Amino acid sequence: MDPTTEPVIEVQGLDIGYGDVTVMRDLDFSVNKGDIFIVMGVSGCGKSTLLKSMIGLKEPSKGKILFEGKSFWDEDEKGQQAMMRGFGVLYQSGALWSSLTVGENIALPLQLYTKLSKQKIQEVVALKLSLVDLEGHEDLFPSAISGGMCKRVSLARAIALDPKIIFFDEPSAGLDPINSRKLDDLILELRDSLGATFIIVTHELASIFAIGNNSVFLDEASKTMIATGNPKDLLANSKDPRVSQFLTRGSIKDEQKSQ
Amino acid sequence: MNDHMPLLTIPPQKTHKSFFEETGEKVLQIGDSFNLAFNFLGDITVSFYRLILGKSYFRWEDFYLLIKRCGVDTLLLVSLISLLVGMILAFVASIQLKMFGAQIYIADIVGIAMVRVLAAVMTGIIVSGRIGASFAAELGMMETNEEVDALKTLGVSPIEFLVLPRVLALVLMMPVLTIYADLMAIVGGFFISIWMFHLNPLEYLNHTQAAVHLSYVWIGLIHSFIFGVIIAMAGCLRGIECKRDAAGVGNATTSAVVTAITGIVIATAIITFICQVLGV
Repeated sequence: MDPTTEPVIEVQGLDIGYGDVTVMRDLDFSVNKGDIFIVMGVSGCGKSTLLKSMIGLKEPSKGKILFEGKSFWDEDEKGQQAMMRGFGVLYQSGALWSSLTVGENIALPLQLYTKLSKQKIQEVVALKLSLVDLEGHEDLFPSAISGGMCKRVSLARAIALDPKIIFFDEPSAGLDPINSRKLDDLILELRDSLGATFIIVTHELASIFAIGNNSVFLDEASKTMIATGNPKDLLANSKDPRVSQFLTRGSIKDEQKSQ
Repeated sequence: MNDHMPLLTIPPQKTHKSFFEETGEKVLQIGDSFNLAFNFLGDITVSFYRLILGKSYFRWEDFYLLIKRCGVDTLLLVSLISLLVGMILAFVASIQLKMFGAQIYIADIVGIAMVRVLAAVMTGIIVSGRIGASFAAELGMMETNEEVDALKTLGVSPIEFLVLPRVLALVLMMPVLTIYADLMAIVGGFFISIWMFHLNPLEYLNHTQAAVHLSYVWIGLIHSFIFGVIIAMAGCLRGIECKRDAAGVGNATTSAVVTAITGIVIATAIITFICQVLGV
């Protein structure tokens, strides 16, 4: 599926922070339907805080986040919950509920928001697990599976309700290169099969170039975004040394040193 | 590499606060802590109301497991401590009573003291250390692992899903454990009186029965119910408020136990005062 020019998310004049401390300010960008949108920047620059604001966990200090034209933080609690049902979130740690089995983790959203029978829910759970290559793991507890498997179960849970928008926080963190590559392929497959939009917070260059078609670059020093666009275009054309340095793993710095 | 570039930039040192500044800050934080605790109690009450209306997302299977845990994990400790406290009380009472040849009143002292207040307090302290701490550690880990965030983004209230089952399980089990502790303490006092002071077993039991009024049992149960709420709230609140750093879970656990025990002592003082005023 090719991305369209129809914006699903619009971030307008957004400031985020903790108390009096501003983490990022004046963020303006939009994410189109079908995009695999990368939020990138160095560690600690505020990527995860931005993600928290987008998924409804942290109210921004200023500005708006529009989902299909509706401002999330201006909605009442019911409206926000209705919008959140259209999200799937894969957390950095996987965040599987440890007291529930793999199958129960995926079934919970279905039990809450659908009227499917127990039998149907089990069928959907099996289907979602097969999408992430984990058929037959329903009865295991999260503590009994590996970190990579936890990530895949978490992805199966995130897509349980066939959401329109799926958020990922550092999906490659803690994964070996092979599993990281598999996860990238899975994201592309899911984008094509579900027609969903993906917002991925990462600084994994291989993933950024392999799957991202749009991005925003957050700069820690100036506390704002300094570039937006396709990561490959940014690599080829960006004149900003901070962006080039990040996308070339610091090789600009090497050049500067040799001069 | 640039030779003039510092390898490590040392951040400016924080100026240390004086003893009085730190004490002042802590005192000012007490108001915030009460505010937080009452808000939390309000959230739990609303969740309980929603449960009664059938609107709450409550996992009964978790509730049954928690009831089992609250009972099984503490039963051995409650047995041992209550038995020993009953024995100690009998020994201490005998010091004065034997001077008057009134050792039979050991039965009254052990029965009244344990049933009215001490069994509930001892059980509360054991449960704080065993269950309250485990609630704080468990919820703290869930907070750290983003499991609580995952619930929120799914539109599930962590209070309904995680806190309410724990509070209800403990509130239900505390009175049961307290009644059990009452019996164990009376057994402890009984054995010491029979074995060490050669009292008549039947007379001892008759004295206990006559001394322990039903109203004392109710007072003990009221204590245990309130302690259950305090321990569960302290454990869950500290867990949910846990910081996501290396010391976070440890601090949450310690704080849960300290808060619960302090709460138990304060609540005991208040209930005792009220009973005194009411003449119960």
